[in-house]
Amino acid sequence: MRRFSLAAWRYRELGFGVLALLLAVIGLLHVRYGNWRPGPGGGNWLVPMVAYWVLLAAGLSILLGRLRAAWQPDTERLHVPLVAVAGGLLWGVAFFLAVRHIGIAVSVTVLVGAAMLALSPRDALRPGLIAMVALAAGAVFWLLFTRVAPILVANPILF
Amino acid sequence: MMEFLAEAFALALSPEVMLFALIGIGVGVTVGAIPGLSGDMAIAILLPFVFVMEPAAALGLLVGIYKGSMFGGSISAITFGVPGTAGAAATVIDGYQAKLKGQPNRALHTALYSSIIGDTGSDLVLIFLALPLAAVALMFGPVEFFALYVVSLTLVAALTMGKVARGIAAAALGVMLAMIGRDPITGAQRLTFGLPELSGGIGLVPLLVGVFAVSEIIVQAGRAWMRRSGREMADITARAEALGYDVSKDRLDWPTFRATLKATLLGTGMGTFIGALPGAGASLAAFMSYGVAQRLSRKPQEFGKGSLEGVAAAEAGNSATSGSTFIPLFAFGIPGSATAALFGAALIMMGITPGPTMIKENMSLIYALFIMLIYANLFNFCISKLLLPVYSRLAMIRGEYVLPVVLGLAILGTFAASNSVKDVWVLLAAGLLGVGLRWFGVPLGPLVLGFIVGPGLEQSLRQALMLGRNDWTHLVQSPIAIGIYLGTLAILVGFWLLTRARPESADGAAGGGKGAT
Repeated sequence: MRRFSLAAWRYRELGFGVLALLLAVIGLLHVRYGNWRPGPGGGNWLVPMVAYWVLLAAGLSILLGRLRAAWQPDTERLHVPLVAVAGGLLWGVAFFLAVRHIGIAVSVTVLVGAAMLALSPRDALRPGLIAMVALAAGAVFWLLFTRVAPILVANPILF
Repeated sequence: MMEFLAEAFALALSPEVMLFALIGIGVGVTVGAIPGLSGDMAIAILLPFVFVMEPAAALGLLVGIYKGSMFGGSISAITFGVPGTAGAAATVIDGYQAKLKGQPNRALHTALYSSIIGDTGSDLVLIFLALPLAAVALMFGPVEFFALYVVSLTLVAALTMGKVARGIAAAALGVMLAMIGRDPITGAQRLTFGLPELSGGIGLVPLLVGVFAVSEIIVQAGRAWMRRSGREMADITARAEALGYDVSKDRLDWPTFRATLKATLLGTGMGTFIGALPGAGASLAAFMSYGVAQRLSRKPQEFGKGSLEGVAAAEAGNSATSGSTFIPLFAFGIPGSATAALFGAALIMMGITPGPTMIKENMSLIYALFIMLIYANLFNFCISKLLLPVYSRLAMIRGEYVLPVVLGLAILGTFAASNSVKDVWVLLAAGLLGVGLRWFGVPLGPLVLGFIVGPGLEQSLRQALMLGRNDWTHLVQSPIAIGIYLGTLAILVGFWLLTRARPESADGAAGGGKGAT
């Protein structure tokens, strides 16, 4: 398991090197064959081109460095479950749409409460506390975004 | 001049501004003390509210948050062995050991005093250096500014601890993201891929909030999700409850603190210098101060075993970056750190362009900011001294209650800043980008600095080339530019030598600290 984990990290770094290289090559091809308007001072492709070359060099350095160097465990391995990434982003989209169509106070209370429930440890679930925090958050958000820094929300169903 | 000073004092000492500074300190210590949240995240989320606030009040709030979070990070580092912020990672090494030795109060007070001393020293350097440097910068042309931009990006990447190639790649990615939209010279669209929404470019606020805050929230939510089932509660709460905390156990007396003063002053000097360099950051300053203090200590063998000198050096080094990190921003308009970038964004939102003319054009506000920097330290000291026992409980606040609220605030705050739906999608995309880069172990600071510095870099390069009739050697013909390049080379060599000659124990300690982050 440990061996797999270390290998995964090594591939992660290699993966970033490959990604950087790919992006740089695609970018340089785009600079070469893309539809760029000529302009003074080297043209508007100059800085993007320099950035792609720097990315190319960095990508090569990462790849060569990782391939050449002996393995050294990295203490900064980060594990982010895919479900958290997808869930977080979907929650964000749902939250924004709900605020615009349902209303700030109700959306915040319901969605913040739901997220708290989903993230709370099962052996230490405190529904009463979650309800209180969610209601307070709904009230604070309503105050902040209708009174302090009002946002444009067209006729939400609730409030 | 006296007129401006009087105006500045009136602005800075108005009850509203002082109240916001106090609130900021409270918020800053809270977010600093809770592992996973940081002052940068809080500043990023509050950026949209800068629009609706008086500039001085908004600056007071942001200064308070920044200062509070610098010390807040050390609370959980000492009390529970978990650094609240990256800058407090070096404080864990001796702070937590001191706590285990039964000296939590001494360690916390040492951290507080050295943090305030380091912070104040750094603020004074900023106040006395920013104006002369800005005056020098007024003589700079495109060639000199191009040299400064190149040097900042090089330093940002080169001083990213152990990740130079990844730092350079991140900086290049940031510059590329900044190129999306219209060419500043001809107005032609580029890199929009046919999407009219991208013709205006990517907004600074959604990118900053997305990369710093949203990605961190998703990572923390992932951790909460992984430990929600079973009894894997080896987190802060469980550890805090198991360890307990009794503030009356020990007291920090003057002779004990006096023994740490040398380390505090060393940390202040190191931190102030490192903080003024673009990209070096609080974490590097803290570890380097710790290493140098150990080397010059009479009791180096006690470092790593609960040495208060170690706590003092790390905390002073960490906090001493807080004032000097604004020097490149105020003097040259180049943000030297993520925090400076966030303050730069706040200033831009207030209609103030950071750069050499900024101080002259906004004399009273900038001097008011200087006054705020100083009295915020005093506020931080008084409040923290009084509330230290309460603060140590802040780290016990559970992430699952905070994260959804913070994410909601980030989304609606970004929307409130521009009422643009596009910005919300950019925010979420930037969050995804931030998570991806973190997963790959790529530092986020260089990406953001590349994004902010990119337009200035392009403008100065193309203006310089136009002036030199497309002759690239024109870029290295200015004595000032050559001096800037040589100075940077000297700094890089100096850092390389210092890092290379670091004692074994400090390296180990540093690694441990980083691992604990």
